[in-house]
Amino acid sequence: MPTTLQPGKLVYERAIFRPLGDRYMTMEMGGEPTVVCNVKVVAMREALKSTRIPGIIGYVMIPRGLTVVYEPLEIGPEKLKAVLREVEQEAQGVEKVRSRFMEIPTWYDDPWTQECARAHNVPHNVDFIAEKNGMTKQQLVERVSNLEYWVSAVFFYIGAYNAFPLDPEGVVSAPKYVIPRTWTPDRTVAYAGTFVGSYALPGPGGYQMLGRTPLNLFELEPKNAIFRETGNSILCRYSDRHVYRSIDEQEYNDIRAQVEAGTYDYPVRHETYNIKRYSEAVLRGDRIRPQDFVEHAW
Amino acid sequence: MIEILEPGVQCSIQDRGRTVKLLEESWAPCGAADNLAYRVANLLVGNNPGDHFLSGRGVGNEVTEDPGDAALEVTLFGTQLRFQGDAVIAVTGADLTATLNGSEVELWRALRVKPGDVLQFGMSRCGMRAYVAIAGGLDTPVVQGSRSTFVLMGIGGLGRALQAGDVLPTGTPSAPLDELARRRLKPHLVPQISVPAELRVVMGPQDERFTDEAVETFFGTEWKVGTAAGRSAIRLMGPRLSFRERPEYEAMLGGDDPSNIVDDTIPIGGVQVPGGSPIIIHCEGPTAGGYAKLATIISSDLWKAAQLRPMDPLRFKRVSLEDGIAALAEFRELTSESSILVS
Repeated sequence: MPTTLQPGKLVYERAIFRPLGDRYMTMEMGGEPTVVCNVKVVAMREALKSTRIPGIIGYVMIPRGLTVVYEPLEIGPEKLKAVLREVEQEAQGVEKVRSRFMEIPTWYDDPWTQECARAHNVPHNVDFIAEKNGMTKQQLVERVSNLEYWVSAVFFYIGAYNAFPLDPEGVVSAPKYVIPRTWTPDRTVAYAGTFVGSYALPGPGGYQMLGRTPLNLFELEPKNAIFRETGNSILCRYSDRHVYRSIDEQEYNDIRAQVEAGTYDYPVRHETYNIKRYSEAVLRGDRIRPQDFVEHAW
Repeated sequence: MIEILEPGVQCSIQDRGRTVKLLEESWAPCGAADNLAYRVANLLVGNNPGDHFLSGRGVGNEVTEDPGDAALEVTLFGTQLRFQGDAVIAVTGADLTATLNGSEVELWRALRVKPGDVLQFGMSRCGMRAYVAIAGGLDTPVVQGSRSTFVLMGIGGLGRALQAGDVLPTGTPSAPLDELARRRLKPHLVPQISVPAELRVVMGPQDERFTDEAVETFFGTEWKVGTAAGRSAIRLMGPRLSFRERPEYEAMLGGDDPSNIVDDTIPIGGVQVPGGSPIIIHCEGPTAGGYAKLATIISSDLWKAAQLRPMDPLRFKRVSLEDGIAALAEFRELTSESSILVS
């Protein structure tokens, strides 16, 4: 059966540090990755944007934490931790973040992911998730496509990400593959645990495949306007919000033709999201309507 | 210009790798897997070795990084190259019995080559990857700020590993060739590829997930490299490591195997242990993944991991984070102009 997430569970009072060798340091904000945990990660990342700390040169975000890549000969690990602690305090003041609302049209249970499942000797992934959650395939597609998701982090291989449902109620859950797939079609929209994750490029993977989007999630040479505007090779960013609208074969083909021609107008709304109010509402156990925390456009 | 006559097992264009900033867009850094041999090869021919791997200068959003001049990464055996002009080259890294027109080549020094000269790699005496730098560097396309090839994804370089018939343009040497040809690495600094390899690691990030017995086994075992020893991952063969009980959410969100965790950052050099068997993640690895990592190879020993061949033995040695950082300072000293001798 679909589950209700316990959103405040295992969010740490103060982040814990995990050194990863001599070049990386992770700040873990909680055990279980939930949106409440992730907005602390996002707030930390936002707070770091306005600070200038010599020796911090890069980041890797994950749903429950933030990893900094640093120059240990410039800033030692103890100094680094102390500085990050200070920023953690400042991050508590981050209330609103930029958030793009995007529709990711998805052809659920499409022929390519079906073929990929067959090639790996596993049942149709959509049937499998539906059965695990005591639903029909149609109910599953309806459930997943009606929810709004929060992109918690971009990670794994180029352009891949995780997105959590903003409404913690009635969440579908699915295990990862026991033996990871050797390949996955690009633009596959997939699901594992309680989150959506998509494959921007073909590659290995272990998330259950839900369907395929006609949208490019990666353009090395920008073709569609959205990639030119952002200057990024990848589409998705942390704190984006997604809806995976269900489309049929015909609409898939229509959109795909436009994307390939470089003329597709990606449906995006530039908004500000109040992560502080959202967290408070979730922790109070309020009924969550994700649009209630949209503040204004930018 | 360099013409690829035979690519061998794998030959690719690499520089010091992509900018650290791209990690946040989940690009692997790529670049030369053995950053020591790559840097020295470039220094020997008067090229720019770029900034150190995963390093930059400046603060905040203004951090700038120099990817360095591009060179060739040659893997294991069978690669043959022909030079189409007068040039100075250097071959460093693994001893793959390199010959120039049939005569064995001295590694770790600059060499003059003439048009039509053929550089050929035979069987490995030791090590997995050799580097060929040419004065002026390879003048191939820059993708996302670097000439390095993301071989796994087919991005960067020529969009793939090199093939027979590829012709690579080269840039302008930084000094007259006769001058460059006098450069060599100070003999006492020539890196030794030891067997078994000893890789120094810092514990973590998820060492608490392993049993005491697993930790003891990890450091007490002479591991063997499996057949998969690529630029993204190096699989090891040996005993299975065991895990402690884990919280319920890890099972629900991470996966059914006791080695699964909720997805977490994988550093280059991270030793993850899916199903109890260690895998070293290298320069083309994913930025995150769902397996517990017992330890992380210190950045100054990443080159040693890049030199592991299938079936090579290795051991892990535990060091403190402070010792790891001290080793990094030494490594940087070794891979600087002060290590070059001009005769």
